Amino acid sequence: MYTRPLARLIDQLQLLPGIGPKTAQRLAFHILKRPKSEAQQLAQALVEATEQIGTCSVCFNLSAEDPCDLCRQTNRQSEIICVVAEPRDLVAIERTREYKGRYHVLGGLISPMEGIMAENLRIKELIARVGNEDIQEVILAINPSIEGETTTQYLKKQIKLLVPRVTRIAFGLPVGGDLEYADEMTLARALEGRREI
Amino acid sequence: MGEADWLMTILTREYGLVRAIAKGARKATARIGGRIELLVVNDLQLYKGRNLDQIFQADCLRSFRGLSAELSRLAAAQYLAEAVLLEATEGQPQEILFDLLLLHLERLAEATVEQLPARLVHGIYQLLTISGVAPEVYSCTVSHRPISAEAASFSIEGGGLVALECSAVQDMSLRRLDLQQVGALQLLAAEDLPTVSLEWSVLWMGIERLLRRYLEFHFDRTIHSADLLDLCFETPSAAMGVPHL
Ligand SMILES: [Zn+2]
Repeated sequence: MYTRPLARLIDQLQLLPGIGPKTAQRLAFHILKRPKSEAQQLAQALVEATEQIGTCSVCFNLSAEDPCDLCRQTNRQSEIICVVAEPRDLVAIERTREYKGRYHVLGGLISPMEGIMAENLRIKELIARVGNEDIQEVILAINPSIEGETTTQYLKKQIKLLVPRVTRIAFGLPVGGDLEYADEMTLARALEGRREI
Repeated sequence: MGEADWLMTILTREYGLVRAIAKGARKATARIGGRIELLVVNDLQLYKGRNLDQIFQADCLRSFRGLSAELSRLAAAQYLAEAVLLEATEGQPQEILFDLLLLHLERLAEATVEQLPARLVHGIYQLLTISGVAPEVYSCTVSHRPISAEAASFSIEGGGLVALECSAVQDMSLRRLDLQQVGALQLLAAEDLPTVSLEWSVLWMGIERLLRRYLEFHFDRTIHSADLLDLCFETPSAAMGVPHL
């Protein structure tokens, strides 16, 4: 149906998350319709990103430099570490502009049922950071799922003697969400995390 | 599959293991997200897909919130779930297995931390029983002589207890069990454990090690959650907090 290079392009696009056969076809036709230079820039960006981006050796965030921007910035509080599962969680917290400390990206959650254990994550490195640096607080910004709770409890056990304060972020209702439509689990957590006003 | 989609394996009473996708479940605003988690019991409605079924509605029936309180409880619950998955199959009803998981998760959620090893070991033994591979704990697997109130050996390959007089002559790897350990093993076949025995956490952790090796031998798989459990019950403070027999 497609000439071979087009079929290959569609196949490759389809490997991306959220892209089915129809979207892949639409994207492929779009790319072919645009000037050749645009496609070359896209291809170059893909190659450069995969070649240049690695992980920061301090916080394990994705970065082209080592240490990353966030670890080098001198105006951030270096005595607070916020622990997240994935780089995208870090991005979400940065977007709030509320947090001015450092980060540590675990690279996943402890999930025995998936065969992912503490040694498969950057937990050793976190313990070393907390032990070697002057850290006053570790904030665990980890989902309250079973895997997230397992990771949170595991970290608490491992680091609570090394740092004065271990906290975790509160979970509750989405802003603008209607109480009536919240699921039972979210409501239960929101109740658990209530505080005095 | 989209980035916010969730692919999951579900144990159902009616159809055994089902693999299904939950569209958009990772989004914070998704109503379905909080419900379709690990170890949550849902009334699910699925579309039958070409390759994968799709979840379009989930009503939470039971969530075992208490499991998250301690690492030991999380470890024990996931241990039991891992073990149940070893026995679960696709495409056929799994009522007995499903009910067993629910009953024992309930007990794990309600137990004190000291009672967790007893509750877990009991669940594991009951699972072995419905799988048809429970170890022989009432008589010698070699001579078939009844065993009660005495020390004995245990053979993983041989499938259970071996009387001491048979232990010497057999060419197999045996573990020596004392009278109390043999007695504890014999309690496991009952539907519930005597209340007093729930507190024997050190004894039950010993039995857990034995049954873990037995389970892993029979299913030829590793129970990953066991590492977490070891971390919780190996510390001296945990062991010392336990009343002696
Ligand atoms: Zn960094």
